[in-house]
This record gives sequence, C-alpha cells and structure tokens, in this order.
Amino acid sequence: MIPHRFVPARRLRRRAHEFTPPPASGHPRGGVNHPGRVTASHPSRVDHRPMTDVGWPERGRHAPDFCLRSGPDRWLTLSQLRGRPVVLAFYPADWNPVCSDQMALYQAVLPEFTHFGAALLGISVDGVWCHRAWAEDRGITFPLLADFEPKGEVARAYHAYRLPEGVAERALFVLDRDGHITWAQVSPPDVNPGADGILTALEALTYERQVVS
Amino acid sequence: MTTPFRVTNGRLAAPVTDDDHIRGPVTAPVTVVEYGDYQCPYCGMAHPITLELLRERPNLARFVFRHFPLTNVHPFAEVAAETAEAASARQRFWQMHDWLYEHSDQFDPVHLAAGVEEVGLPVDEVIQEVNDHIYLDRIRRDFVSGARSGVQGTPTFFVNGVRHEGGYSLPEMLVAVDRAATVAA
Repeated sequence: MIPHRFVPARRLRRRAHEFTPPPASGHPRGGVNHPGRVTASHPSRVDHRPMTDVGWPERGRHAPDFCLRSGPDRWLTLSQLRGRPVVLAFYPADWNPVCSDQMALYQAVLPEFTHFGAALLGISVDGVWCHRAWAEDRGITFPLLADFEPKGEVARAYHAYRLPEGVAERALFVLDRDGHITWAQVSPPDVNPGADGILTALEALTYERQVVS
Repeated sequence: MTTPFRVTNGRLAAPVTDDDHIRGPVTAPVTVVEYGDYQCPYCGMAHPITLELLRERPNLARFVFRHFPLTNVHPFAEVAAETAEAASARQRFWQMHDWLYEHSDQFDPVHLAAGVEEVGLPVDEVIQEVNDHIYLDRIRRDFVSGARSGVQGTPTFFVNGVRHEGGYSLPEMLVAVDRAATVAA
C-alpha cells in the first residue's frame, strides 16, 4: 500500500487547484504564493493530510536554522540557543483571539518551561512593530520573531506555512539540546492547543537525559 | 473542504484530593472541576451557573475549584487567588470565593480589604499573608496541574476527569453532568 503522504504529483496538483482562488496575475499558475509555484526550497502544505499528522515527518529531523528579527534592532539566531531545549510556537497572527489566548497562556506557563531549561519563541509573519504592540498589550515577555521578509520563509522551512491564507500554521515544535525536532504538532487555526503537549515533550527530554547520563 | 483531524480530549492530570476546595456532597457520583481566574469576566459569568448547577443536582454533583490565574492579562488575579487561600486557611474559602466573583471589577486594595472584612476575616493578617505570598506555591501547583491537563484558558471545566468541550451555559452543563452520571452508574 502506498503510504498516505506519498501522493502522486499529478493528483496533488489537481487537488491543489480545487481550493485555490483563480490566478490573479494572469499567469497560468497564479501568483507567487500559488501552490503550483511552491518548490522544494519553498514547500507548503497543499493536500488533505490530517493536520495532526503533518508534524510527524518533521520529528527526528535537524531543525532548520534561522535568524529573525526579535525587535526593531535585535536579531535572534536559533543556533545560539544550542545546549538547551527550544519550544517554537508558530501562530497565524498577532491580535487573533485564539493566538492571544494561546500566547497569554504560554506567558503564564513560562516559569514551567524555564524549569525544564527551555527557551520559548513565538513566530508569525507579522512585523516587529506589530509584535511589540501586541506583546505590550498581552504582557508577553518571551521573544516574538518576525518571519516577515521573505514572508514566511522560516515557516515554510518547517512545513508550517498555510496557503492560500499566507500565514504560519498553528504549529508547535520542541527541539532538544542538539537542535533536533523531538516533538511536533499542528493544530487547526481556530483551536488553541494548550501547553500540555509541550510540557510532556519537555519532560520526556529531561527523562531521556537522566537515563543516558 | 473539511480538514479531518483527531481531537485528543484533555484529561485531568491531577486527581481531586482532600487538599482541593470541594463544594457539595462527598458521595456525589459526578465531580465538576473548574480551573478559574477571579479577574476573568467569563469565569465571572460562569460562577452563577456553577451555583445553579449544584442547586439543581444536589445529590448528583460536587464542585471543585482550582486556581488558574493568568497574571499577565489579569494583574489582580493572583492577589485575589491568594486572598481566597488566606480565607481557606480560616475555613471561609467559599464565602471569599463567592465575594470575589461577585465583585471581580473591584480588585483594588481598598475594595479587596472591604471584602475580606465583609467575609469576616482579620484584614491585617490576611493582607500580611498575601503580601508575603505564603499561598503562592499552592496556587502555582493548581496552575501547573491545569496546564498539564490541557487547560487552554479560563474557565475550563472537567466533568469526572474529562475536559468539558463546548459552552458552559446551564443546560449544557446539566447535560454533561447527567451524561457523566449515567456513565458512572
């Protein structure tokens, strides 16, 4: 039996057209964000795979490195955090009610993440000033990274870019101390995934370390 | 287009113990646990519903309250929770709990002190204890158990250990409690 995620390319393309708006640019394959234009270096989710399984192929892989703006004049590089677990929380948009609830929850749970030695990073395609205003409004102190230019490049690298909306998926990744993805989950945009999955994943990391050492 | 996905229901990670704040008969077959924040307006709206629920199902349901203060959005939630714990140490938890939910727009120090007095607690002692944060560990323990159970926001209810999905209007809560009672029986 053919595994579910190896969909033949032609079938995939036909499916993609079913829910894609008509090309706006006059180009037969539409604009830059058209699924037909998504390449290996700019992949995106365009099929009907169940969403919770989307994160699975990422597990065990080395997390793609990135350098993104965390403030108007500050940058953050993922590899600088090597040596401690990292929680990457991709979310669709600042000011979105579900995102607001989710990030306010993570801010409150932050001491628990810190307890596991983990760093928490929020990532969306919004710009730095938008991030700053939202963070001040919701009392968020952990870094919010702007995947702004080229838009969604990091989200695409993590297969967490949502088309045709053009925003990041509501995707969670837990990286171990060496920068490997040990746990990943993608939730529908209107579902707040909570913090329990992250906490369980961080606990498993701590446990593995104790067993090894 | 529908996107199929598997919903994993949240389950209560920490079972109800004697340390919890419990209202209603000990022998009730259904236990409703609320993770709540005293400054959260939705919890304030849910409060009369929880009271009515216990009134309509007096022998069926008991109610447990656990703290889930989201301090970054509700700056007074933690102080309110600590005040409730100070009342709990003097066997007045539910009186203070009710007062806090009925006055959740008045959490400035003056009104809070008036509330503490109204409930019949020694104001100075309570203020001292709240300022010393001696109940913060317990509140944090409640919070962490909620985060581990998949609480996403407040209020979140667990009916016999399973997260209650959907709304928390009285009819919906009654249906959830009755269903849990049928399963338990």
